[in-house]
Amino acid sequence: MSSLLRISHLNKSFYKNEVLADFNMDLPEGKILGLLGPNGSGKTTLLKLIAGLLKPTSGEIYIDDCQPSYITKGYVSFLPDCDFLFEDCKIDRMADYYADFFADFDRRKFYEFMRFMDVESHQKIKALSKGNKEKLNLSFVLSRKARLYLLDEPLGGVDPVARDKIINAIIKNYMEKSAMIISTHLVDYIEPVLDEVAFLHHGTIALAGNAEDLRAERGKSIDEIYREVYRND
Amino acid sequence: MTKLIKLMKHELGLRKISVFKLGIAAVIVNVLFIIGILASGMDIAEIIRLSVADEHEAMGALLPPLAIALLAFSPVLFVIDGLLLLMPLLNAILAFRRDVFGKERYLIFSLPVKGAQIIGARMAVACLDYGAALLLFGVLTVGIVAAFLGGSFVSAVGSFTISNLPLLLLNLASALLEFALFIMVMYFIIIIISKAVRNVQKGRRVLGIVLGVMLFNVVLNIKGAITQGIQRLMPAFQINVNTSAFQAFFADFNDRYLQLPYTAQCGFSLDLPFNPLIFTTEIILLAVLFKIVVHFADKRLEV
Repeated sequence: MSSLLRISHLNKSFYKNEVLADFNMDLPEGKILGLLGPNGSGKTTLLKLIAGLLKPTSGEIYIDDCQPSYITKGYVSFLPDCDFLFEDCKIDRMADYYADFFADFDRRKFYEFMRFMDVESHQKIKALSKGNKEKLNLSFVLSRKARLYLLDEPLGGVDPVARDKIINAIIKNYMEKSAMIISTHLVDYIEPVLDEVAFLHHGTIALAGNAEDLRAERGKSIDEIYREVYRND
Repeated sequence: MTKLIKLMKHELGLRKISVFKLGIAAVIVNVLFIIGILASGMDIAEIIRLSVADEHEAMGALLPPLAIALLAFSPVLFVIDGLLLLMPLLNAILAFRRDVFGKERYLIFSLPVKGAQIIGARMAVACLDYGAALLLFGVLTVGIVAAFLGGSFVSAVGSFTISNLPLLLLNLASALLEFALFIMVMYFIIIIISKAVRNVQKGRRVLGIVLGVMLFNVVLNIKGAITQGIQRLMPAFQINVNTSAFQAFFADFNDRYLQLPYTAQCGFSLDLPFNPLIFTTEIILLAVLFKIVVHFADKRLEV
């Protein structure tokens, strides 16, 4: 299986604050990776670096053999951990925006997601509740037929029913030719969809591997392993 | 190119304040003013002749009472027209502030487009806004009427003459160029702030101070206009009301508070001299600044 994402010796510092240190990772196609760790462990920074929103201090990132640039942004779909859409726009207009700029945006799939998530598409974005905004953000991101999906805290701030919907949407979106990285600390919710996991600790990988293998090897769920890894934090 | 046009299309749709709507309001007010001046029975040709000859006292004596009353309100028009010319600038800065410091920056910087296309689209939309403001105010309100009346006309802010259409077009281009340069300097400042401060919240605060100073300038100019208006409403000052005084007032007002590019006044004084050397230098400066801003946006800017 070929590597869709390759990260080697990646370092990222903000002034003297080192957020990622000699970070290495390979992610093949068809896999869903859980990027797990407490706040400040470097999850968001890593996703932003892959998305091309931050520049590495040193090291290399390759997505489908290309370094992050406006070209890779055409096949990387990034969900930030905040509302990133134009609040004054109607949802339909925002769909036009996506269709105009992302060649891989599938409008039919988007409206299917909207129905699945129970969100009306004729409203202004600012009129939506927090939970519905999160669902909308995710619908836009998942409606692209991207090669790599980066979801930063997709479950943050939504109720348990909405969480189930979001997880079902992620499973529904699974494609063999693409890969997904989900950053979260709500491990118990996301655990069933993960193929691979990487536990981040102060900018380095504390533990990584196949989710099934880790569970078998340690006789514990990923959520329990998470608690074990970060017990002293 | 297609992406640039799409960026422009969406940017125009996202504008909170429409320069076009404000422009239409300004045109209505200005046209009403002109109709009032025409209805006053003022001998326009004679007024212009005296204005050109600098015979201000004789000119003042010729002004009918309605024209004097209307001219006394003209500072209000300065404010409306000044705002019309300032709106594109404010719009352009607010849009760029949103791009760099707003939450939408994640979407904007995730688009598969080059930095040059984003900056270019913002510039193009800002220039369209400003061009519309200039055309609406400078040409529709004044220029077309002036052309209709045989090349010259008296309005709220002075006498207008169009004797050289290519020169007028060059001056319009020059005004747009100076506006673009001003916007680019602001973008440069915003980019530098974002790069230097790094922290988005702090960056917003610093930019807020910069914009605050600009806004203070605008408030000062409105205050100045109102003061002038009150002075002109007083009977003792009415005798001095004449078109040249208003032109002088606007020039002074512009120098002190608005500091618009001098050619922005082409709506008021259409036959401005054109300096090819300044024009060329400005084009070069604009290109250099554009290159720097795009480099920062593509290679250095982190969001």
